[in-house]
Amino acid sequence: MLRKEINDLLTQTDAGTPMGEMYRQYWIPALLAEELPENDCPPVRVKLLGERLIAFRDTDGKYGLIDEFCPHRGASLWFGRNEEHGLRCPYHGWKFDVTGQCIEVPSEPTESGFCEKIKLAGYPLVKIGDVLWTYMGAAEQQPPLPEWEFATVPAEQSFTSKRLQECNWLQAMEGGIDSSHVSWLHSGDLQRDPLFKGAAGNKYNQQDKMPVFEVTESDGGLYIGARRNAEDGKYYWRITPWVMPSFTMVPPRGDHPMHGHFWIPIDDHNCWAWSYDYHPVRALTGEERQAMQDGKGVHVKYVPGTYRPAANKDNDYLMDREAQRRGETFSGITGIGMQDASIQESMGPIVDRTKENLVSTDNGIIMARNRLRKAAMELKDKGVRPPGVDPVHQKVRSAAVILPPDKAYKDACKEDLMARPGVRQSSV
Amino acid sequence: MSSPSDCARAATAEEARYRVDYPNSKPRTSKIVAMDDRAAAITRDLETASWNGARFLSLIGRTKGVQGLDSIPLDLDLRDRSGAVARLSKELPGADVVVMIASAGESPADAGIVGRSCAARGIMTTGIIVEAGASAEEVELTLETLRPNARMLVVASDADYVAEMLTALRA
Ligand code: FES
Ligand SMILES: [Fe+2]
Repeated sequence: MLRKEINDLLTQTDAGTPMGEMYRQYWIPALLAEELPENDCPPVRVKLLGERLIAFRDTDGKYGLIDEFCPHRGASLWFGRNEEHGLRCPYHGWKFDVTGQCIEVPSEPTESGFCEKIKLAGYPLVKIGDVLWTYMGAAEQQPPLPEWEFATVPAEQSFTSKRLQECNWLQAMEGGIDSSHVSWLHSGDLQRDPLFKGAAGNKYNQQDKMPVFEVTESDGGLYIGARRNAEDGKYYWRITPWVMPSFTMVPPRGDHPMHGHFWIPIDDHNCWAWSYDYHPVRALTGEERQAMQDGKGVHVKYVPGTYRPAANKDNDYLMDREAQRRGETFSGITGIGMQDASIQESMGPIVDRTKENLVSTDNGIIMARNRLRKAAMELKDKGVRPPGVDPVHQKVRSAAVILPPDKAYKDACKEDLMARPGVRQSSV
Repeated sequence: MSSPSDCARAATAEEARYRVDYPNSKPRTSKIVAMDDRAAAITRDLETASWNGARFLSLIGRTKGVQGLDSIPLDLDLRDRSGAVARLSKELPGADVVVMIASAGESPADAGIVGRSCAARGIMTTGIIVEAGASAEEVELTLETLRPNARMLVVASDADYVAEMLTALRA
């Protein structure tokens, strides 16, 4: 159960709200680099944290993310012509550079310098890995660029996708730290999905369906450890890091690539679920990359030409009751990504947390809310920079390890839980 | 598509308004046991807030079990908020959850009695270890003691998590 005021506080991210201001402290994924594939390519509409924006790439390859609407009379710059170092509004020809500065107002004498008085809001947009990242906060507080491992390994080792999720970011993110749903909602996929099956550790999951959880804080957020019995009185631990505000990483399986998510608010009723997959020390194989492109693992198939999943609420997520009856899928929905999305969207655009009945295994979620609330309030009241902004907090990894029964995993696995360039993931 | 019942319609904000409004759970019986003095200080601060029947207890010590072998302590004496002495074995019947609060650095040996008594009765156990600046070794010491005796464990940096969790669990 969560009081309504706190539910509002955590779920609302428009400018001026405490969580909105907190999200504006971070570099967040804005677009896939493939959305702006070449210089002077068509501009792309982007909505983030309740702000309607337009992204474009100019003649020099510089990226910009600016207010969508022309300050002259409010036309959408999505119709703009991307030409010669700027985006020109097709209505009356006003032109803007990647920072949002107006650089031409054709109706006014050039000498008047009128255009210098016109500036659209603009945010930096930087390509790191497959992602274009933006920072939507005050320019003077811009933090160092993000250093997440998935975005900084060589390109051939990494694959990133995004999908539209039609619900609030928090309930989507909570799915990523709610390890106890995996044995239910995703049961079946462990054996079949090409990006999961065959790992030695899978047998522990199958033998022990009632893991015991341990939640512990990290500098950037949390670790959620799920413990199962292994041989000789040892424990098999699957450890999920969560870094504020919304990065999670699924514990690895065997030598499969490691994967996880970011949840980024579009507005209070929609978010982008970003999914990355990477291997710390080797290139993805052709089959792996193909499986990811085909929507396997944490990725999904799209409605052609969009980032909306092909299975979506307009077609009841392609519900297959026969597969559900046969036990092939637990909810009748195919694919891990869509199993999560469909369930989370079904909770409503913003789930009413005053009605929920949390139990002890929900402590990961309770702690994450606790940390988000405290960080948002500390930022608001005292200007304290929230956890997760510092690139040191971003150098995390999940791990799947076997430990003696008396070890605290956070200390025993200190190294395993750190991104270490050139070092293989700790995984069984 | 879009009949009144399909997902497209059902998942809208408009439809969220039509969720049946009623209390969808009965009050739970939660027992919160402070395992050491610092933990007792934390729960003492909470006792005055309003809870849904949460009962705050602190450990006094071992006592002989009612039907136990004389030399093996099987039961615990606890003190409730009024100062009265209560027996663990009397507190457990009907409990939905037992939350053990322990300070990092302590190794409350009696956690074993709480844990075994709950396991025998099928009662959920949760442990919260309050870190409050303790060292990794101190946390590990307490973890080691609580781990076999709690089905869910949290290491919280700050004591305020205790209240937050109890509220979340409708204790
Ligand atoms: S069982 Fe968890 S939401 Fe229904
Ligand atoms: Fe999931």
